[in-house]
This record gives sequence, structure tokens and C-alpha cells, in this order.
Amino acid sequence: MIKSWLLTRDHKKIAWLYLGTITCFFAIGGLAATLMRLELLTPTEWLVTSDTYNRLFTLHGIIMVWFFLIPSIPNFFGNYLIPLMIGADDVLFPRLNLISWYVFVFGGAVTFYALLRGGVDTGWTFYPPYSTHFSRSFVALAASGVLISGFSSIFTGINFIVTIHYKRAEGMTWGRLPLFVWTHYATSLVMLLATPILAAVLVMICTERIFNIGFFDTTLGGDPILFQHLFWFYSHPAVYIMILPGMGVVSEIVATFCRKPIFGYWFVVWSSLAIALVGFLVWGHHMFVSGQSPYASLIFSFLSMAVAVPSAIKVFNWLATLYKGAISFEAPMLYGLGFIGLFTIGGLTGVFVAALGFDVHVHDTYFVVAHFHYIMVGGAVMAYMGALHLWWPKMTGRMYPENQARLAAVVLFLGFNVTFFPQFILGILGNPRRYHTYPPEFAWLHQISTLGAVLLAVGYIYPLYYLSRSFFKGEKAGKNPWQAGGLEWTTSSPPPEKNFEEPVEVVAGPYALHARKGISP
Amino acid sequence: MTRKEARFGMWLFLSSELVFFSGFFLLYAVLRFRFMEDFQQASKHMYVFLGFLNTVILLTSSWLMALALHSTRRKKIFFLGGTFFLGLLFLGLKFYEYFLHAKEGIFPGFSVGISEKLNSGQELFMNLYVLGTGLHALHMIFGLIALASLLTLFYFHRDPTPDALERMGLYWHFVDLVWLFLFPLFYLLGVSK
Amino acid sequence: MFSDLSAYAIGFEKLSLFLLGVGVFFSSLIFILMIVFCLRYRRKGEERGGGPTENLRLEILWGTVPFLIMILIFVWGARLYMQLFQAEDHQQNVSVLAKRWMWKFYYPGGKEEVNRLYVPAGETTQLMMISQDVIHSFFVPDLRMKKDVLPGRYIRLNLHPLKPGNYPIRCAEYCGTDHSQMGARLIVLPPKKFEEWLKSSAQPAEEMISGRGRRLFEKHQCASCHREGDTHLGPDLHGIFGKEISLEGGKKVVVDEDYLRTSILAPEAQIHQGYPSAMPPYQGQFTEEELLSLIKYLKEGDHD
Repeated sequence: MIKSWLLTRDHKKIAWLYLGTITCFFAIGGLAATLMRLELLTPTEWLVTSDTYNRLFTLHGIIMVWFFLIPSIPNFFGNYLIPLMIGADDVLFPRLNLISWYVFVFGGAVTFYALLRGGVDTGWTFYPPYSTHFSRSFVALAASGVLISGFSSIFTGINFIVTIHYKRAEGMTWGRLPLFVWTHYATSLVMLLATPILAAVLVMICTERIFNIGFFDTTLGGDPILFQHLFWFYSHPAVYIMILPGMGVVSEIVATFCRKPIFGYWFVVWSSLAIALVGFLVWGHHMFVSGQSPYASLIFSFLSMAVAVPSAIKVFNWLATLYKGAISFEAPMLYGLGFIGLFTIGGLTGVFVAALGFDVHVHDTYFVVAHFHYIMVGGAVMAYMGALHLWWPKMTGRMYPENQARLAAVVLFLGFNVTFFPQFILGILGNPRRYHTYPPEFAWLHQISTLGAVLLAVGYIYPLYYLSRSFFKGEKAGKNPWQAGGLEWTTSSPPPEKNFEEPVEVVAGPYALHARKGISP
Repeated sequence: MTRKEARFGMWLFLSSELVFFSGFFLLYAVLRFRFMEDFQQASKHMYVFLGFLNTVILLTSSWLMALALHSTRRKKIFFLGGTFFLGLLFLGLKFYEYFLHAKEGIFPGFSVGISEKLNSGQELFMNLYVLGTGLHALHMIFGLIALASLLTLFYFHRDPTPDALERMGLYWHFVDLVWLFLFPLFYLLGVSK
Repeated sequence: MFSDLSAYAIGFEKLSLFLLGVGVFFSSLIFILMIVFCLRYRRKGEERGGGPTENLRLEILWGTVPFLIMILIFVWGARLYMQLFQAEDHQQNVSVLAKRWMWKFYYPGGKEEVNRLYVPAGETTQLMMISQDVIHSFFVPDLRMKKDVLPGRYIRLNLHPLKPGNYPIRCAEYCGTDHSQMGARLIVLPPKKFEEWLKSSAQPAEEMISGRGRRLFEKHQCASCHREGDTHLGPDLHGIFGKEISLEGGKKVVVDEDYLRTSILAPEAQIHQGYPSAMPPYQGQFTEEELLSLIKYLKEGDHD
């Protein structure tokens, strides 16, 4: 039985393997955040020392970025659903898929080992000279763990691209692909082409730290700004790896719960591809006050404005889908609507920080922290929760309890805003980030934020409880409880091993129900 | 799975490898721009003949690899074995070179005997040289392991498929290509003056 | 919360207000549309959704309008930002050394302070900043001003506070254990009071930074190559600060703090034309503070 899981080549089982792993990592990252927010209840040190606090925020960043957000939707939902959505029996390289999970676990184990040995305190951004010459923590070990897990991203990207190219069912043209598949295609391009730069720069950091080479050391002729360029050249596209899949989920949710196709299908498709492409050109907006040339800053600021346009287009297309839709408000839809609202705020504040004159003040303050949490948590994690509820009946054959789920969604939404909105204010007032202690006049804002974090935690733990419970006690779900279009809803819940009982032939666009040849709703 | 699909997958992987090495070459470019003269001076420490020999070895191995794709079973084994042998030879020469550098006292971190003073620019050149050729050698080792697996499959009469060979070929040619950039950038820099 | 401490701060507040307006406008628009549509188009039974699924005009509209507004934001933000890079006449000079986890300020005439930056109101003070160790960031929230402080090269920043007061300075680039404790105060004094302060309790010449520089110069026997009269080994350094010289290869530079610093640490990169490449590099032999003292000595000469 264990062997059937650990040696499986079934994309659905591999997806479940990933779910188990990333849930553990989310718990670890969440625990770190909890300790941080507790410490921040008072302006001065009370729960943990500075060194511990610095390790906590580093751990939180590393785990959440590389071991939760990046794999979350693609490696669980993408792996599970992409073959189903295109009418295939599996991905094109099933063994590579399993290997990608093992590599991910191995990378995670190395990072976890670094944590057990005492952690790392450089921040998830590993800036030298601190990381190479001053940190008394396990930098090379942690960086190696991340490097290893990066291969998981690359392999996943390869698999998705070839699968989408070659395993589409008869009649599944590019123009009939669900938007979830399109966003994963765009994400895979970024995974494939951005992650290797991370590998290169982490190798450089490790060799510099271990062998005392001078790539980033000014006393040996190097330049720490070079690191920043190389690091952000990966890490900015990485944030698009984290949000594009979520956008795909929202498209599916909105289409399903409005019972109509997404407005402006091709515009949403091209927006996803544009975000992926232009996302490679904006990395310098993390470096406006770093000492880089002001002319470079001008170009990066301009391009950062440009990359916001396709995101805006998507939001308006989602809204237009609501128009004359037939809308119901089950839990997935609540998460989807929450995404649209919070992503709007996150995106708008992103435009603010892309404005050069504004960024000089708010760079490296809580304003930026609030901005990216609005996108990452208010956006990506909400989308993750929405996906979880949307496809739970399909993947488990059981329904979750609807009223409890709605309550959890509302608690999450409220908790999130109470936690992170005050942080915009903290940033404007001048509270820098990565601060263990802070001026006493900021205490009330931090305390509100911590209160919100308690609610947020409830919003995550509660679904963990009722979803697990529904595995055993949930009402049995049929093939298509949501009356949704999409090939995944035409097969049983959960699907058989080969995904479809009969060969699939597609005769109509995505989201069109009753249009699959030979398959009744 | 058709050949087209398998090939496509390998091309995608190679594109990610290309980006990886680009990061390294970018580092080289920035530091060389900073230390134009030092890089040229430091390059004079390279063993150009050995590097040239290695280039010929690697190109020949790629040629043998290409021949292996379209020949009979016996010839396939012969050509692949040749590629493997030449690959090992390459690594052997490379490590011999490293040993010579260490004896000279200029191999980063290891000096056997008298240590020659390098200034920071020259030392950065040597560091980049070791990093670049080291990463390349690492990729060679992975390639050799893959080659060995293919040869083992032949030995046990569980012949690898044509597209497995083709993918191996693509990878091997790519690693060869990386060397073709490393060679002039490190070895030939100091030749003219 | 509103700051009018400097021209930059005032410009910042105006930009912020605009951004806030844009933000409130668009988020309200989107939230209201969302709520209205959700209420109006609630599903009653088992019906499917209807309505259009595409509209080119709308797509162009909601792509172009945000883009144009963002261009406006870009231009506004860029103009404010570029003010920071304009060459400005400055009346005061302060050298700033950032090190884990404190700020040290060196004033003209030899005064030094730890974690207290005194500047006159209504005048431009140019800070010349460097880090002894890792990257720090000099952040004055009330001036809406921030600049990273790097190891290895001098970074310049002009401050022009309009009125007196006492304001916090915070480090804004994570630098280790006591990053959040690395604060300082910006004390803006009326010009007269500032002059008084500058002259008050000045140390004896020998203890001042330029005196320490002179002692280092003597200790390391720089004069064996660099002295009055042509030694053919190195240029005479008297009065060299601010002079335009030619480098080997013909390029002309003005001798400033950066040139002097690099000449001490890695001279071979920019040899003065006409002199041999004979000066040994002093990399690793001086702290940033010692370098500042040598530079001050070379700049201001000996105060006998």
C-alpha cells in the first residue's frame, strides 16, 4: 500500500503526496509567523531574542516562498487537474513527476535540517556581504536546500509544457483550453526559465561563503549589488509563479459560480502570457534605493507599471463575467470574490511602490510587507483555499460542510484584513521591516495586527479540521456538484485511475456544458 | 510517447540549463569588464595546449555520439563506448590541469608548494575559471553516468530506445557547447599579447 | 502624519495623496461593481448565466485607462525621484560611517558624534556615507528619505530640512542581530545655533580626525614616495584634493574622496599619469574610519 504511493506514477497520487508535504511546510511557516506576531505585541523584546526573531522571519520567508507558495497550486491542483482538464490519462513524463516530488522532499529535508541545526538569519533574500561574511548561521545549508527544491520546479515546468502541447484530447484545441491550464502554461515557462538563475546565484553565494571568493565582496573586487541583480532576476518572476496559478483558479471559480464562460477569454489568455513575459523585465524595482543608476530605475519603474496592466485587465474581465451571470455564493465563490478584492488592493499598492518617488520612503518598511501579503495571502492563498473547496468533491468524492466552509472563508477574510491593513499604516509611518523591536508609538497597530493573525490562524485551522473530517464523514459527491463545464466534471468523483472511462472527444469551448460528445452531464 | 515529445522535453530542460550557464557568463562579463587587464594577465596561467586537446577530445566525442544515433546495434555500443571513454579522458586531463595549477600555487584554496601572488582581479579570474569548468565538469559527470546507464542497458540486452539515445545526444552536445564558450573566454584571453 | 520638513517630503505628500485617491477610486469602483453585480445577478433557481462574453471596446477601455493613469503616476514619481540625483550646491558636509549597529558622524572642523546627526535648517547638507561591514540603509521617515549605505564605496545624499526639530533616523536594510536597535537622531538646529554647536567643545587638533589621519600618514611612511618636490615615485599630495589629474591612458579625473579611497586600497586601477605602478595596495589594512581620517587629512591639510 505504501509502495503504491511512494512508487506511483499516477499524477493524482503524486498530487496528494505534494499536498501532504506542502501542508506540513505551511504549518511550519505559519508557526514561525505566529511566534513573530506574538513577539511583536510589545515594542521591546519579550518572547524571543533578536537572533531568534531574525531566524524566524528568515524561516518564514524561505518556507512560505519556496516550500509552500511556489508548489502549492501547481504541484497539487496542477498535477491533479491538468491531465483531467485536457482529457488525458496522465502527464507526459509520469516518472519525472514522481522524481520532482522526491527532489522537493529532499530539498525540504535539507532546509529543515538547517533549521534543526539552528536556522539561518539572513532573511529569505540572502543579501551579501551579510550572508557571505557575517552571518553565524547555516547559510550554505539552507541555500542548498532551496537549490535542490528548485529542480522540482524545473521538472514540473517541463512536464506541464509538454503535457499541454502533446496530450490534449481529440478536439481540445488551444482555444478550448480552460484558463486554469493556460495560466499553468504561462507559469511553467517562468518556472523553467527563471529558476536556473536562482540555482546559479545560490551556487555563487555558497562558493563565496565556503571558499571566501570575492564575487560580491568589495574588498576582493566584487560587488554586492551584482547579487541583488541576479537574485531579483529570478525572484521577481518567482512572484508571478506564485500568483498566475491563483488567477487561473479564480477564472475557474468565477465561471463555475456564475454559470457562464469567463468574459474576454482570449484577453485573459494573452494577459497571462504577458504577465509571464514582462515579469522578467522588472526586477530592478526592488533596488530603487540600492545605489543603482537612476536611469535603470526609470526603466524598471516604467516596465513595472506596464506589467500591472494585464492584471488589471483580468480583474475587469472577472467583473464583467459577474454581469448577467447566475451567481451563487458557495465557499469557493467567497474565496474567489475575496481574491478579486484583496488582489486589487495588493495590485494597486504594487503600482504605488513602483512609483519611484513614493518607493524611496516606503521601501524596506511594513508598507511593502503589507503589499506583498495582500497578493500572496489575500491573493494566492485565498485562491488555494478556493481551489481546495471547488475541487474537493471531485478529488475525494465527498462534499465539505458548506455552512462551516462559508464561515471559515469569512473569518479568513476578516482575519487577513485586520492583520495586514494596519501594516500599510505602519510602513507609511516609518516602521522598517525585519524589525524585532519598534518605537512604542507603533504598538497599537502591531497589536491590532497580531489580533488579526489569531483570526487568520483560525481561518486556516478550521478548514483543516472539517476537510479532514469530510474524508470519512462527508456527504458523497456526484460527478458534477457545481454544474460546471470542464472535462474534469465529466468523470466520476474521484476519477478512475486512467481518468476517463471512455476516450474523450471535445466539441465545444471551455465552460460549455452538455457539449462533450458521448458524455452526458 | 513519440520521439517528438521526448525531444521537446529535453529541449525544454536544456533551455533551463542555458539560462543557468548564462547567469555564470553574466558574472564573468561583469567581472571581466571591471578587471580587463588582470583577466588577460591571469589567463596566461592557463595551459592552452591542454585546453585545446580537451576541446578536440570533446568535439570528437560529440561526433561519435552523433554517429551512434544512426548505426547498427554493434556500432552503437562501440560509438557510445568511445564517447564515454573520451569523456573520462576529458575529465582526467581537466583534473590534471587543476593539479598543475595547485602546484603553481594559484588554484583557489589549494596551493602545493610556492604560492605565487595574484592580485584580486587575477584571483577572481581563477575563481571563475574553477567555478565555470567545475560546473561544466559536474555536468559531464552526470552525462557520463547517463551514458554508463545506456551502455549497461545494452549489455543486458534491454536496449535503450532511439529517443533515449537522441536525448542523450542532445544533452551531450549541449555540454560540449558550453565548453566551446568556456575555452576561448578563459584560455585564449591571454594568448595575443 | 503629514510632513513638511523638506521640499522632497512635501512633494512626497502630494504624490501620496494622488496615489491614495487613485487607489480609493479604483478599489471602490471594483468593490461596488462586485457587490452590485453579486446582488443583482443572484441565482434564483437552476438557470445558467447569460450576457455577453466579449467586447473589444471594453477591453481596450479598461486596458488603456489604467495604463494612462499609471503613466501619469510613473512620470510624477520619476520627477520626484530624479530630484535626488540633481547636483546641488551644499553648504555643509558630513561623513557618515555605518557599522553594526551604530551610526558615526564626522563634521567639518573635526567634531564627531555617535548616533547624532546635527544639521542646520534651511541649508543643504551633503552626507558622504559608507559602511564598515554589511549593507545598511539610512532612513529618515520625516524627510521621506532613504538611501542604502554600501561597503566599498561612498554614497552621497543631500538633506535639506526646512525647520528645526529632532527626528528619528532608522536603519532600513537588515544587517543582523541589532538591526532594529540601529537608530540615530537627526537634530536640525537653526543656522546660528548650528554654528555655535560646530565650534563648541572642539577637540584639540591632534585628537581630531584629520590629526589622526596625519599620524596614520606618518606611521605608514607615505611620505617616502609622496612628499614635496618631485620624487618620481608618487605625486605630491599637498593640495591635491579637488585637482583634475590625468590617469595613465589619458582619462581625466577630479581627485575626490572616492579617488583617494581607491588609490589607497587598490592603486593599480587608476595610476596618476607619469608615475610608475609602484604603490602597494592597502586593502584590508585600514578601517573605514581610518580611511576617512586619511582622506580628511589630505583634504584639509594639517591644522597646526
